[in-house]
Amino acid sequence: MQEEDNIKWENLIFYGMEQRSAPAKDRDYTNLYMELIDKCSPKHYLDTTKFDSAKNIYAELKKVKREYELADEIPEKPLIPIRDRAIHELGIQIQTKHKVDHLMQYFDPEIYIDMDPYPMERIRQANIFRKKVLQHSDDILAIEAIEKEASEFISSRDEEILKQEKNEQQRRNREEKEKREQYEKEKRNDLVVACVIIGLSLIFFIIMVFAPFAI
Amino acid sequence: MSSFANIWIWIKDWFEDRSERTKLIRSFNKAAREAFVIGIAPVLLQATISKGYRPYRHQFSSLLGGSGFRIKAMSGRQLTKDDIASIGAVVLADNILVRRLVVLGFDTFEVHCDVGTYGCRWQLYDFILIGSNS
Repeated sequence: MQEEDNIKWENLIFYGMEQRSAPAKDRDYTNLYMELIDKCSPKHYLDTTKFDSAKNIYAELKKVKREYELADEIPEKPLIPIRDRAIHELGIQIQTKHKVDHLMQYFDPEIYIDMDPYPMERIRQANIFRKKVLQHSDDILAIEAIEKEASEFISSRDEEILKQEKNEQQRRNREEKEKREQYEKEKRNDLVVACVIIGLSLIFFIIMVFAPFAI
Repeated sequence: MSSFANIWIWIKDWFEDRSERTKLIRSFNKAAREAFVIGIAPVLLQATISKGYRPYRHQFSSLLGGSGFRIKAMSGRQLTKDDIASIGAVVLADNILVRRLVVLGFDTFEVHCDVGTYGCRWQLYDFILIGSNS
């Protein structure tokens, strides 16, 4: 038996836990907070420099979580600086799938083909942006830079959509108005017919009642 | 009057904590014995309270010493670092246990075996944030 006070202790951080700790590569995260809390967990970083950074980042994430404890979902804005720090200090890769899908809606040339007049310049721009997004589809910072660069293009597209929606709404309103007018007209006609029938019936009744006396 | 009340509350809490710590150690030892007898655990583990490691102290650390949760593995041979680390990892994976240890004033988690003079220790505070991803 050994004397327990003579034990030479070795201080461990997360030694032996790395096998269980690797984050799932293809996991689809519902929001940025969930992604960061999983990818920045200190248990993934065994070397000392990254471990300290991970610990600090993790603590900051928890602080943000506490601030928005009562909210349904943590907004992305306060998480962006932490995300950028995590990318630079820990070298994590943030999922870009949702952002790329969103941008591709704007940069798909097919949606402009049926437009009249044919928007050649717009299609050319959409193709350039599309190519750029596909080239940097794994890099969230590059994707955001492209989004910023294409903000004018996107907003004009949004305006077009808005305009289309407005026109559609006007068309629907017009149709509804026409329908209502038609209905009112039919109702009026029905009322006239009903009045005529009632009047004729009344005349017929009077004739039937007073005819014997006249004779 | 209020300071007297505070002291009284502190004494009461201290005794309650002592009692809770003893209960925790006893239940851990009982579970470890059962696991060893049934064959789930390959080594028999025995938990005791140790004085802890001063740099690992946190704000809930036991004031009067005894802030270490020490596990002795009855293996009958000198265990390697990997063996000891894997025993530690199994215990530290239990988040509820880790949190309970921290609130009961433990700050250091130690594992060693009954042969040799080598042991490993962890700072419990590092593990209370981990595992709660939501």
